[in-house]
Amino acid sequence: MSAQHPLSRQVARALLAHAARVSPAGRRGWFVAMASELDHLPHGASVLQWALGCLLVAYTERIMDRSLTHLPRWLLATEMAVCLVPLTWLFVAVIMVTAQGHMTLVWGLKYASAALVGPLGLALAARILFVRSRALGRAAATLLALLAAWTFIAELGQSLDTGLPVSTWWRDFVLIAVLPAVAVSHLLWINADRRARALRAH
Amino acid sequence: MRRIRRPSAHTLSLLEALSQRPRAWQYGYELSQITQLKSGTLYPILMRLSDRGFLESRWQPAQQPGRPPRHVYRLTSSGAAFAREAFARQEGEATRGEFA
Repeated sequence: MSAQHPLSRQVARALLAHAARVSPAGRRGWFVAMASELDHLPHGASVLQWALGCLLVAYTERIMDRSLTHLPRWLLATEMAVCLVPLTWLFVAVIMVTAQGHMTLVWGLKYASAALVGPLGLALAARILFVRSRALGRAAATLLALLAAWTFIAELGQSLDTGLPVSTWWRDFVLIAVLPAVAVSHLLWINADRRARALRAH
Repeated sequence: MRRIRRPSAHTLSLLEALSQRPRAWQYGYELSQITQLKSGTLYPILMRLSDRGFLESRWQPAQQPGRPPRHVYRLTSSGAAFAREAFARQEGEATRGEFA
């Protein structure tokens, strides 16, 4: 350990080199800047704290970058199918039962509106995942979010209304309300990221 | 029209530091000292401001020999306008709060 480069500075430098390595390629220049700033921190400054903060930024940027756009398309498609197909089946069943007269039109419309996020979500997911150049407009994204919220609220209200213990209905609730909400949230996140990138590119 | 998200208290503090010397280039550590923001908070804000075209940066040769060049920052003209708008909004909210 030399007097010029005490251990804390060496460790800090190693942390920043690691931060630059794990950061997304588009952000690497920032970490080079942070590393060079480290060499200008005055004696007595907490260089380790500085470097740890930068490392945290590197991992956060990496997570934000990878979680949205770097998941394989097949994995996202599987996620969307698992989350949205059960509700799509419910939508189809409601339409058929209503058409056959086993359910009144009013209830049929209520159930169908609560299940609509299933088929609509699948269609929009296909567009987002397989037509890479296109992002959903604000109106479509808002509609999807509102439908998912409506499904969640309607299913929760109906489940609570039965007066039965949670243990009897939580599985249906997860299939019909939670999984679609997860899928829609992820889709909207991907879409927002795509829109932001498109804006930056312009 | 593109919606501009309301800046956080940390962002406002950084905008204030950058606005006080609008034409001067400032170092990351210097900004950290003025705003009392740690590196883990400061740099993500600098990155977002830069992404939105509100901040410009460049490398500046070190004043002391043997040291690496430093990255320096200042607001762009749209960044300065954004800062003014943010301060005006903050002031408006504070005034409304006083008379509420």
